Amino acid sequence: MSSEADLSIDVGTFSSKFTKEGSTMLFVLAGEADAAAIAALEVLLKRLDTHAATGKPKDVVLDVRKVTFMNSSCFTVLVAWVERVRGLADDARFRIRLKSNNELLWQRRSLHALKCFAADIITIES
Amino acid sequence: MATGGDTAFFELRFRPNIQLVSVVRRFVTAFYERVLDDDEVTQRMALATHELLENAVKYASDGETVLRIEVAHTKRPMEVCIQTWNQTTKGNEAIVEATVRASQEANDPFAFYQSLMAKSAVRKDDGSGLGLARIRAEADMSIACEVVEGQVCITARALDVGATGGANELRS
Repeated sequence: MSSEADLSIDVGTFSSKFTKEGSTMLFVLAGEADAAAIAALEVLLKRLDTHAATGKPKDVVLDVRKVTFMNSSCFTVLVAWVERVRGLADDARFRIRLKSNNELLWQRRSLHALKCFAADIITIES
Repeated sequence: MATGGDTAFFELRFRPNIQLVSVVRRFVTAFYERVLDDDEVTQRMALATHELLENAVKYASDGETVLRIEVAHTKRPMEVCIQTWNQTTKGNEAIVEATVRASQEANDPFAFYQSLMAKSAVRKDDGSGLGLARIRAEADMSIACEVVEGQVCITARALDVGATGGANELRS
């Protein structure tokens, strides 16, 4: 059984800090989501799934404003997670709110693509 | 960095590992900032370079890759060409050619990208071709592939770079 402390990760060039606000799980991500971050991101999102299954959040906020770059492999991890969330039962499914920085091209383009992919559960806040 | 006539370019021959790709992206970002003087275009080109290099790392049989970046025209609009060369196996050669061809032939790069996202969401391996499709859909570049004497060359090209930007000229 993982604890809430497991929801914060730091691999040097990439990190995520977890906090909880009411029924919202908030993750502040920072750094470069490249090859060095893939495994950590994958583990983080699986732990998030586990916590969400018991905590039943209404919203999960991913604040990626300080993620300066994301490669396609990390993006694929994110896409797979979104697909898992879409596949949850109605009473377990939560909304995904992405806090983005419009000055970063990857965020404008990739997060827009992600929203188009799962418009029913994703909102983007700039 | 070489500048001659109306072209700026550099070529890098190295044995990239997956960690080095980000280092090279930061390095080429400085080059793009210098010659393109446009933050938006710089980010597009850096993204494309990163994806091409990760692709090269994945498929190079001897680990060695050549990266060439060329910016043509001293005045806007410019033309940017990013190429990677590497040796690969026959099997990987076919995979890369098929991946690039599928991306090339897609009439709507964004729709194609979305279809690959859907496939990659349920795949267990890392071979969806999403990185190369991203070059078309997010970096707005064309992509091509050729095999010459056992080497795979992938070319990403952007024409009319900065066509709507300010009157910046390539600085020598």
